[in-house]
This record gives sequence, C-alpha cells and structure tokens, in this order.
Amino acid sequence: MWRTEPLLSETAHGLLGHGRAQLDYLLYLALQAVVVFAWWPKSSLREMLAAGDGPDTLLAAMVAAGFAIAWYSVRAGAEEVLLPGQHGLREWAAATTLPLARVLGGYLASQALHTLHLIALSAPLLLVAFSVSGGEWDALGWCLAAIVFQATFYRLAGACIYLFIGQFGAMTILSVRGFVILAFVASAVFVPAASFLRLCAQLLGNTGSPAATAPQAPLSFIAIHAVLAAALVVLVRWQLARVRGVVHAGAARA
Amino acid sequence: MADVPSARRQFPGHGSRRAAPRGVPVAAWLLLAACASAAADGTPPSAADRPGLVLQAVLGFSDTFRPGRWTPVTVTVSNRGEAVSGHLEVIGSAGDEFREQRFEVTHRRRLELTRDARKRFHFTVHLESLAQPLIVQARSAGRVIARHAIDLRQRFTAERLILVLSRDADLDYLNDREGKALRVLYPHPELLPDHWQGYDAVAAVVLHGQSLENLGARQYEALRRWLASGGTLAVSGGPDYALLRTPRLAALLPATPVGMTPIADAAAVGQALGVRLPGPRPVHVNRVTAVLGQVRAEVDGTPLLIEQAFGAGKVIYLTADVARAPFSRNPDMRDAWPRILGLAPPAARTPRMAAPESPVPAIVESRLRGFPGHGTALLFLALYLSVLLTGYRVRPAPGAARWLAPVATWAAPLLFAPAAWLVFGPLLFERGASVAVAAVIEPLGSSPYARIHLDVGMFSTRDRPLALEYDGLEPTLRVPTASRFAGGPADWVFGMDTPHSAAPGDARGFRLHLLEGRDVVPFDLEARITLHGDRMQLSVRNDSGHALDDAWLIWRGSAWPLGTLAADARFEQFLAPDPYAVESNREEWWDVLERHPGDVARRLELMKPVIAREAARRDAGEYPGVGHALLMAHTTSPLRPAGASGHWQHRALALVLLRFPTPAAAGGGDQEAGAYVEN
Repeated sequence: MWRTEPLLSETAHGLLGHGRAQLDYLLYLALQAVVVFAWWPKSSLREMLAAGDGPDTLLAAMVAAGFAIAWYSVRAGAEEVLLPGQHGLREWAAATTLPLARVLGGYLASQALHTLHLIALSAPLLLVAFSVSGGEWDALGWCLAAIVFQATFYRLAGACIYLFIGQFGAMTILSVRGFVILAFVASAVFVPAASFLRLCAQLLGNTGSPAATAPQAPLSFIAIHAVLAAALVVLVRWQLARVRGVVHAGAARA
Repeated sequence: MADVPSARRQFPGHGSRRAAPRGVPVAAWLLLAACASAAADGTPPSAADRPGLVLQAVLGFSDTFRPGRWTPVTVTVSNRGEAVSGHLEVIGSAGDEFREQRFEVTHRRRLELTRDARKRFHFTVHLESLAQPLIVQARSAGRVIARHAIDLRQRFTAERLILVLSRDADLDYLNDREGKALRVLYPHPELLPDHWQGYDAVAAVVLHGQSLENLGARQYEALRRWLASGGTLAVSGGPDYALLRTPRLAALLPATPVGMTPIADAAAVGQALGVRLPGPRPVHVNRVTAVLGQVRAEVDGTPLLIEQAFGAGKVIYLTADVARAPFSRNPDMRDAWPRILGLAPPAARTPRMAAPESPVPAIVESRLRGFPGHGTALLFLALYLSVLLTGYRVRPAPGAARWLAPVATWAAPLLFAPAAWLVFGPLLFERGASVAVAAVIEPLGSSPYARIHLDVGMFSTRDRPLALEYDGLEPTLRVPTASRFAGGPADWVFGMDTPHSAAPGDARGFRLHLLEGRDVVPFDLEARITLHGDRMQLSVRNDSGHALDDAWLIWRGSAWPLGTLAADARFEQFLAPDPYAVESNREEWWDVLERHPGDVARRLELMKPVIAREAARRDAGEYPGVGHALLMAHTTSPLRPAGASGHWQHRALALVLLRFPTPAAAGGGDQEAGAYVEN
C-alpha cells in the first residue's frame, strides 16, 4: 500500500525525517507538558476525597492535546508546515496526472497517519495524566477518536483556506489561526454537540457519567465532524479540479 | 332488496357502519380496569405479574418498633405460582427530608422458591424516618414482581421494650407505668431476631415456661451475643424446672434447679424482693445447686434472685414462678420488676454524644499512597521532551541502517507511553477501588465474645459502581450522621447473602463513602494483675484465635511493652519498673508511647482519635480510669474484602482494647483482681 499510495508513502517517509514540522510539534508538546504540570494534583488524596472531586489533570491534558493537534492540523492543511520531502495538494493536482479522487484519498490517509503520530507523541503525557486522574479507558478512547476526526476536519479546513486564498500570505496565516479559535469558541457556545471542550468535560470531568453509559455524545461529535469533513472534501476537490483545469489549459495554449 | 329502515334515512352513516370485531370492547374495558387498578394503589403494573407470590412481613416485635433503633423484619414469602429466582428487598428511608437529604437503604437477600414453597427471611434494618413506608418487594430479572408497603406511623413506640417469652405470664401492668417508658410485648419465639442487633430496642427479655431449644441456631446465637453486649435475660423458675435444665438455658443460668422448696414466710420473701406479698400461704421456689452467680436476694439460705454477668449483660434467675400467685397480677410487681431487671430510669440515661470524626480519612492518608509529587512529574516530562529533542537534533550518520530512522522517530513515544502508565499507575499511585477499615475490638469479660466497633470507608479513583464484598463479620452497617451532608448522601444497597456486600449508589470516583457498624463476635481474651508482695504479675489468656501484636499494658499512668501475644497462648510476666511513665499532669499515656521506637509510634496518630473516642464513650475524664488497667494491642482486621472485592487495596487498623479491673492496693500479701471486664 505504501508504494501504491504516493501521498501516504511520502508522509510516512517524512515522519522519519528531521525538520521544522517535528520541531514545531515538539514546541506544542512542551506546552502540553506545562499544562499537565500546572494541573497536577495539588491537594492530597485525603483532601480530594473529602471534597468529593478528583483531579482534572486528564481533562486539561486532553483539551490541550486536542487543541494543539487541531492547531497543528490546520496549519499543516494550509501548508505552513510540511514534512521533509512532502508536497502540497495543489502540486499533486497540477503536476501529476493522478485522479483527484486518488489524490484526495491518499491525502486523507496520510493525514490520518500523521494525526496518529501526533497522538503517539502526546500519549505519554496523556497517560501520565490518565493514571492520576482515575480515567476510564473507554472515555480515553472516545476522546482520541474525537481528536482524529477533529484533526481531519481542521486539516481540510486549512487546505480549503490555502487553496482559496493561499496567494495572500498574511491573510492566510491570520485566517488559519482565527478559524481554529473561532471554531472552538463558537462550537462551545452555540453547538455543544460539536464542541471538543464540552465533550471532554462530559467524558472526563467529575460528572459521574462515564463514556460507557453515555456514548451518544462522542458519536454525535464524530458524526458532525465527519459530515463537515465530507463537505470540505467536496470543496477541496472542486478547487483542485479548477487548478488542474487551469494548468491543462495553459499547457494546451503553450 | 328490502327498503332502508327509517333510522338509516335520519342517520345516514348508521347503515354503513361495519360490525365491530367481537371482544374488542371487552378487552378495552379490561385494559382500562387494569390501568385504573394499578394507578389506584400506586404500584407499577409489573408488580402484579406474579399473583401467586405473597409477601407477609412482621416488623419489630409483635409489629412494634422503636424509631432510631435497629429493628428485626421477618418476611414470609409464599409462592403458589411458577418457580421464582431473584431477590427479596427491604427498603427503608433515612436522612433529613426537610433538607432534601433523604436517601434509601436497601437490604437484599437472594430469593429462590419453587412452586408451592414458603420461606422465611430475617432482616435487621435501622428505621429512622416514619414519613415513608417500609417497602418489602421481590425482584426477578430486574422487575418488581411482588410488593408490600408497611406504614410505620401506626407501629412505632417510644418506650423501651420488654419481651416476655411465655404462654402464661402477664406483665401488662408494666405498660401503665408513668415515666418509666416501658412497653411489654409477647413475641412468638419463631419470630425472634437472627442477628443480635435486632434486640437494639429491647431492654430485657423475660423467659417463663419456655426453653430455648426451639430457637434456630442463629436465633440462639443472636440472643447470646445480645446478652454479652449488654442485654438482660430474666428467667423465671417454676414447677416445670426441667425446661431450665435444657442445654441452651442451662448454659446461661447462674444456678441449676434440682427441685422445689416451700418458703413458709411469704412476708420474708416479699421483703427480700421488695414486694408486698399477700396472705400467709407459703411461696414455692426452685431449689438450686451449683450457684455460680451473685445471690441478690435470699430467705434463710434459699436463693430467690441470682444474677450472673455475661459479658456486659446479665442473666437473672428468679427461683419463684412469676406467673403464679402471689406474684401474678400483683400491683407491687410494677415497681419490683425494673429493680429486678436493673433498668435505669430513662431520665438517668446519658444523652447521645455528638458523633466523633471517623478515623478512616486518617488511615487513607497514612496507609494509602497519595499522588506522585510534582517533582516526579516534572522529571518524567522533562526526560521525555529531552529524548525527543535529542532524537530530532541528532541526525543518523550516512550509511546508517535504514531501520534506525523509524526507531528514532517512534521509539521514544512508544516506550515512554507504557512507562508513563506503569510508573504513575501501579508503581506510584493505586488506581481502582480501596477500602480502609478501623476496628476497635473490646473483649467482653465473663463471656467468650468481644464487641467490635467498625468504621469503614471505600472509594475508587475511577468512575464506576462500587460494591464492597466482605467476610469475617456480619455487622450492621449504617451511614454515619456526620458524613451525610458532605456532598449529599447516596442510596445504599446491603447484600445479606454470603459474601455480604455494601454498595453506594454514587458511582463517581474520588468519593469517600463512609459506614459505621457494630458486631459481637467470638473473641476470648482475659487478663488479670496479681500482687505478689510488692511485685505485680500480669497474666493474659489469649483464646481469641488471633495473635496480638505490639501489645501494651497501660496502668496507673505507666505503660509496659509486652511484645506479641500469640494466639491460643498464655502469657505471664512480672511488671518491672517501666521507663514509660507519665511524668507530668499535662502528659497522657499515649504521649508516652510516642517515645517508644516501634510500630506504636508510627500508628499512634491513627490510634489517638480511636482511643479518645473510647474514653469519651465512657464519660471518663481519663482512660482506662482509676482502678482499671488497659491491655492494648494490634491484630488482623476482622472485616476483609472477599469475592469480587478480593483484589481491592485494603488498609486496616484493628485495635484490641481490653479494660479490666485491677487490685485495689499494692503490697500486703497476694491480692488478685477479678479478671473480668467491667463495662
């Protein structure tokens, strides 16, 4: 599969390299570590039992990881960060004759692999927090699944922004960052079912409703993001088709 | 075709109406009636699924109970239908309704009944609130299949209960005593409790013309344990004294009846008992031998009233027949009975003290590992990030093996992830469920029993239902009043089958669920101090079946370390002048123990509140008090997680406190104190 899917193999090789993309995420990891340290339990076990509230370390770590991966994904989608040897979507559409469906399929597969790698990098921090917070494995699993679907959405959103206004550098940078912040805030306020913050609070907070008894929330979150991602795939494909059309028209004139 | 009838011309739709299917209106009415019936009695429709299952419940004694006391509930289940497999539940209400802090306590037993079978079940419940009925229900496959509600408002009494087990004796005159707060009941022996705590509301049991051989094994044992914990059993003599020689009763009586003897001077009998007896007729009493107890009343060497301690309680043998003249229906017996039974007037009873704080949180803090420190977390995180940074900065040399690249990229997170779970989980912090138990074991001298006071706390670091299964004891457990309003009370379910279980309804993690309980168990431990001239010798007989670790003798402000007292062993030691003496008025003996370089010093912070509570319980300014010594030791916890809870983290503090009387004065020949505990 690696050899037949060029985008996927490109990403897999890129992950083994050394470059700015890795160092960027290392910075985000450091920020996540700061969050874990800041939310480390300060009260003794006896005090927490008396208060009836457990530590929020896992909740904070998961929110930090989800936000960091979303932030990184939208920047990667907008091609601000590329793995060593990695090419952008526009290049694949303009410079190759691969069917666009295959390009997009490979793009989504490579994005999933990259997201899994980011989650693996965050895993030690999440498991440190998981152990002291008394989390449940199924709740942890739902949150990680939510991160994967969320990252897909933000990666495609970044790709859309880049494909539509990528030629305006400063505007692209601002739009990418503004989009993430706006999406997080707006979903928390107006569309709770699509809010990663609320999902984590429900699954990992001290509400007494473990994920095993309430799977509707993560399923709703995943479904919403899958639908949105599917819509963005349509947009990206349309834009890629335009790019390819322009390139072929130019080649024909030449 | 016949002409259309005129009715159809007036009601055009009349003729075209189709005939309704047969039975539909009848079924509709039946359905309506069933729903109305279910709505009327407030029970869900599914409760009528098993009309062949009948529940009959007797609350307390003769359907009378005292609020705020443990009460026996006897449920008889009769099955005239198909075989039933499920649970029988008794659901009571507790807490403060006015503050919306009400919660339910469910006692549950396994129910297996074949067709045409009947079974009797015994429960012991703590009834606090009269506002809600007591519910007895049978469940099968998650559904209620039979239900019976008991209105508590018509069955309670505020008086102390006196149970009379007799066909002939009539002590109803005691009911009319103003200010004495006594209520006489005549329960059937079959319905006596099978747990000693079921006698909580009972001041005394009067036995006449009955033996104890018809009681079930558990019922007899419950009676013995209640006696040992402070109960009073009064046994009346009579011509049918062969009943008093039956094994169970003979084991309790302080003397052995061998016949009848007349006492001609009835006035002397009355004077001895403090009763005015009419007429010159002689009084026939049992002739007794082998008197083991104390004779409290006698005439010319013939005992009338013999009393013997049994643990903290007593057995009283009246050699006269209280159901016959001149005692039966004698109005003077109204004043005599409380004196005979040794019942204190209710006004003289010590008011209930404020509940002390449970020692369980201190055990949790001291015995269970807390969270890993900030330094540990910082070290781990910094190490991980450093390894990653090094891996990203250090490029493999040209020609290095291709497999190095994925190892360098993926190795760090894949190695540090399981390490993170392992280090911050099983190695440094205990995940899952934990239980902490504090037990005070107080041997009851002149009986093979000990009273146990338990404080139990359970919690989990995960959000999942908790259910503690345990063995070793069958305590009655309840939620301490002091812990009810911290974070809101949860409903509780207590399983009465083996292994017993206790499950709070709150499944949230990091919630400490507290319980307190009491039990009386076999624990035979005896100690005495004997004076030999100016030397003092301590003798200990340990037939408890448990080793006593780190034992200490506390006496006259001094403390002697005794080491370990092995199970089923005898220990004797002359007490040397000890270095552990209280040196000033501002120092307590437990402060002295802190100077001892052993386990005691480490556990002292946990023991202090327990010992202080015992001292307060006796209204004593000091403990063990003047004229008494204290044998204190650690032992294994009597309550142990079992069954599905066997893997729980378990921390326990089990303290044996044997308080016994000591010689009045030192020197001047051998003097020996009674070795039996005074409680």
